[in-house]
Amino acid sequence: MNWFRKPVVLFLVIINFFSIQLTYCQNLDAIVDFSDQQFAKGNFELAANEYNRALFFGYYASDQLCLKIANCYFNQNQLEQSARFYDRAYFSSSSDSLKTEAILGKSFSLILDKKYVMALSELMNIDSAKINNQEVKLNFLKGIAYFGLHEDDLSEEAFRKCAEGLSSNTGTSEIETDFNAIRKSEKRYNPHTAWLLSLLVPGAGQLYSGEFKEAANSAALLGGLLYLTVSFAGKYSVFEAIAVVLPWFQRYYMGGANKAEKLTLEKQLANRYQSYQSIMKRLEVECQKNQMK
Amino acid sequence: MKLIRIFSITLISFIVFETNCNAQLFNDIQRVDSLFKPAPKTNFSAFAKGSKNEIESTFSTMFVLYKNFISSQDIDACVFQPSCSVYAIECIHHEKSKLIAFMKISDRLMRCHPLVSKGAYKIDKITGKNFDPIEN
Amino acid sequence: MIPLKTNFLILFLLASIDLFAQDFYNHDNSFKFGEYLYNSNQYGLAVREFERCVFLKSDDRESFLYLFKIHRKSNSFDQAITCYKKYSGKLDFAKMDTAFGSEYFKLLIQNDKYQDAEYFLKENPLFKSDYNLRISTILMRKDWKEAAKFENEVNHQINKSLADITSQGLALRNKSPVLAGIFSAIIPGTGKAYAGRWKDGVISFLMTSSAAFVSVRGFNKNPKSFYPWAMGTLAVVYYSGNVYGSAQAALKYNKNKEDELVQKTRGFVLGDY
Repeated sequence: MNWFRKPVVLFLVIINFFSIQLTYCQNLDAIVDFSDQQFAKGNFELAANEYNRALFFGYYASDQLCLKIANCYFNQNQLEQSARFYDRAYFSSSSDSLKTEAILGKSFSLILDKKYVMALSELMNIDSAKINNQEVKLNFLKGIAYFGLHEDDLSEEAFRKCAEGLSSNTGTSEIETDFNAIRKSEKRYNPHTAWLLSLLVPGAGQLYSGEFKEAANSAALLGGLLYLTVSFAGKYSVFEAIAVVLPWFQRYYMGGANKAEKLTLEKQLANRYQSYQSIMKRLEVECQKNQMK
Repeated sequence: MKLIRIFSITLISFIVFETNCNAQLFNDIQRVDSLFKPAPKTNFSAFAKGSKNEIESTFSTMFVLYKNFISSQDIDACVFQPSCSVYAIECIHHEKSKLIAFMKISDRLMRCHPLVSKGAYKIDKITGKNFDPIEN
Repeated sequence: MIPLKTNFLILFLLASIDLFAQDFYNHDNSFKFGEYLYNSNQYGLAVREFERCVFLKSDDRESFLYLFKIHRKSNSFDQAITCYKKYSGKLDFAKMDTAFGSEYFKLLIQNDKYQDAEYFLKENPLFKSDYNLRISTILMRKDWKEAAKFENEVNHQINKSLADITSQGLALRNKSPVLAGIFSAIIPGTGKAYAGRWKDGVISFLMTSSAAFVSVRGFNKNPKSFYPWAMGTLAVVYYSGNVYGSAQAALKYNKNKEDELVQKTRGFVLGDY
């Protein structure tokens, strides 16, 4: 074994050892690069597959990979899977910014799944001192979650902060007008008032909520039933009228009031949706302005 | 000199990062744009389509009229999912013998009362009502 | 001049670089990766991976088994069968081994093909002596008497819960739909009460009798008017509907009782779903 002591051989062995490591790493790097490309192209399923492969064969940054896999699932709208991988990224990472991103991603998945309370409780975990660039997104998500829970004041605050983060002064006041429109519509279409109005005069509540067809429908139906009751009382007997027709009259009388209430709520929701879309449009414009700068 | 260079590099990187952030937010907005869209109203004429004979088309017309002008003004009284009127129109369309169809419908009307005992039917998850399709 | 020995060494070392440079897409690695995907519930991706394994090595039993399992879990019957045919050429019950066989059995049960499952168990020598599975297929067909006969044939060598289900099935007392119909024809609503729906019975009695009462009253007062005729028709419709509904309620009562036992048996068979 004399030859083994020669420095040349030793050198070769060492080189060989490193080169093995190097090729191994290169392969994994290539896989991750390839999946990055596929992700950018929009082939999310393939990208998820290859990220998973790199993760399984021990790529050094497992937390980043988990985040990327989660993003793939998020873009494919598989929200449960994406939430799971965001969680995994959160627990396998030690970097604060990555953790924040994982929480943001998870709560976004929850919001798209309409689980607003859970999303908010996730967002509360974010330490506001440790984020810098993600504050806009944090406020954006908070705004949507509060909006979904009908917490308009909190939602407004969050959306305004979001617009401020996009460095504009016009956006904030515009968002205020949108929320004022919502408040105004809630005052204008009061379900309780509509209900009471319809009880007093059938069809009035529907008129109050601006639905003329519904008002005419309700008034005609109840008028017809009332006529039937009276004619029954004349033709047969009061007992018949009370026992057979009056229950129907009572039923549709209450039904009309409930319908008026429902119509106002529908109006409110429609207006809310309009305001929401306008807020989104405003934020979009701010984004574009920011990119132009 | 050095200070200026460091400053400019950080500034540039900041701007680059910021624009990336905004581009991402732009995509996010597209994603949540229709989140609070109110559900569209149910189109009941879809149930009444495909009538094969006069009886079916008569009942289909009656069904659509009832749904649009009478049932729309009613309280939410039916304890079943699908509701009695939908059940009736489906019976008339799908049951071979019209006599059986009418008997099924009248039986259903008598079963539709608020005293339904728990566990008698499966519960529909979306509406929370008793699930009772015509196959039962 | 480098000696010959060292020359060989260099060659060997250089070759070993390629040897050790792991190919992540070869069969073994793909299989391992597929297993990981399967265990982390990413079935859609796992299918792709195992499909590749199968492509690289066409007699890879394990990969086929995983594919079969995934198709079974997502309950895609045709795909699972195609997968098995690819593996063994044709669908031969007798030659299916234990792992494939138990998955195939679960697949059949999931798709309510109880008779096929029973036939499969009889044909396959590995499953022929699995009396628990065999009696469960008979139970799921709701043939309680045959199940009891089978239990005697195999000297009661079956699981206690299945034996319980058999005895419960034998003890079932079915309600007669004819009797329910006759009850309701005599007094409206009693048939429903007989079939275990006494609240429905009370309501239908009230509705039918009040319609009839109002109609009769109308005829006495004003027989030429439209109203008593309408009420009379309504009473007849309610009456006939109630007779029909009572018979149906009796049938449904029987079906519910039997289905309960079938569900218990299914739970036993599919246990680790």
